[in-house]
Amino acid sequence: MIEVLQTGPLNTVQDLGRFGFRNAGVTSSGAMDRLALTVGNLLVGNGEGEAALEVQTFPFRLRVNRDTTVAITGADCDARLDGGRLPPWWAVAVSAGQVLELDTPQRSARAYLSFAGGIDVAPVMGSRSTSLRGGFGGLDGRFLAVNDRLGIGGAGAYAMPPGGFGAMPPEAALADHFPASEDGTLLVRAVPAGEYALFGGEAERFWSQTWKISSQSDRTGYRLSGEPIKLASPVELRSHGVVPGVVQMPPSGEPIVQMSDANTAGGYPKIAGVIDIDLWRLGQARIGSRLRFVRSSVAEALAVERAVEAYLEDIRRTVPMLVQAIAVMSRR
Amino acid sequence: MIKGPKRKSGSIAEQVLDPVILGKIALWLDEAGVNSIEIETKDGRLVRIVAGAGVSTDNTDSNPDLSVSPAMPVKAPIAGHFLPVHPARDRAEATIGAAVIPEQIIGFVKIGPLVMPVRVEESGRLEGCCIEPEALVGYGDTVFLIEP
Repeated sequence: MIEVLQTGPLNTVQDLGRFGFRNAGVTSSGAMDRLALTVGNLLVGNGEGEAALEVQTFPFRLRVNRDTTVAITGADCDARLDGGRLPPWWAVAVSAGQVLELDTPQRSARAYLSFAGGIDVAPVMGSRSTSLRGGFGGLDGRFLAVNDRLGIGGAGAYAMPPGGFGAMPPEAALADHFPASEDGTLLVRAVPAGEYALFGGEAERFWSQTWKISSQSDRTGYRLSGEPIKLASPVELRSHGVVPGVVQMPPSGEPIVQMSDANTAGGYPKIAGVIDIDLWRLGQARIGSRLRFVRSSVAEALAVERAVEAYLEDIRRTVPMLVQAIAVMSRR
Repeated sequence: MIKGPKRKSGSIAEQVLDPVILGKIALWLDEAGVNSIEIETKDGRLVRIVAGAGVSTDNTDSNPDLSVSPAMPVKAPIAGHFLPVHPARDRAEATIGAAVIPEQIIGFVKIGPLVMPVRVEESGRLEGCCIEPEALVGYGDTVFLIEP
């Protein structure tokens, strides 16, 4: 059992998402940074799809009421366990009664708390993710509040080494596969989408200009601010299916990037689609930060996906070996 | 400062405080062109002998050119590459000269995709780092020195 002692709004239970029901208008939901959630679960010996807490408003504080293991991944929130500082991307054993605190991160937007055995809430349509718009999943379909109590699955799969251990953050381990700009602007790779050609010569500015993530951004979508891009001539479109990553261009000419709680259908022209493997980076982008779209290809997207899968497989394989080695050495 | 090779010994911590032995060590250091030596004892303590640094023991009269300062080693928890700064951060967890407390993480060892903590066992002041960033360390190698 864990008990929420302090929280802002919009912190929710999330797993990797709810799939197979878009035809019924059910959004996929799921973690905004799926990679951080996956790594967190691997560090505590969980299946990678177990439910965790997605924390995006701070400070956040909880007490554990049983011995367990927790991993903190995603944004570096200067986590502290009973006042002792923990590094980011870290897993550690926690004892009943200990208090874990997260502060507002200096960079990135969302932290994930994965507990051994996962957050024990009832699955809805195959997922424990909270759908805030639908009001179901997670903890009663709502965001966390002070005094909430959540069950956790069970004891850790591993005996944690003293002080715990961590994973190399993907930004460092996969630096060769994710472009970085010199001025800190987030580079997000995308491919042209169905209505790209309708923007004519205007479309070029979609790639060349720097966009700002506006305050009207949330888990449903990011509204970007910049010099508007207009259709060459007005068109009427039928509503079509929408998935996370789709970049729509409403009449205002400022793009909307659909995120984890993406609408299931929409009628705005689609200028581009963010490649799936870059969505976690967008999920960590903060309101007010700047980004630029980089034209990519399916081949590049697949190559990056393979690199990320190799990184995860490396963690999957190495965690049990490391824990076993430490246990042997501690007996010497 | 040039460091001499580390040697393991039993009750050497007490022996080196003997003025006669200190005198001999001073002579050896001088002949070898080495100005300090660290000796690790069985209980994991390090005795550092520094030539020409003044005397910090009770044996000041007989050994005016040597100081003996016990320093506690902070050791690598596993073999891997030493990281003085966490790869997601810009700054080290503790700076040289800072007070450190038991269980505090002050560095990291990278092993494949994972990171192990280098942790303080006893309170003190962080005296120095013995390993270059990214250098390979072995299990039990001294990574930091702490002045109790």
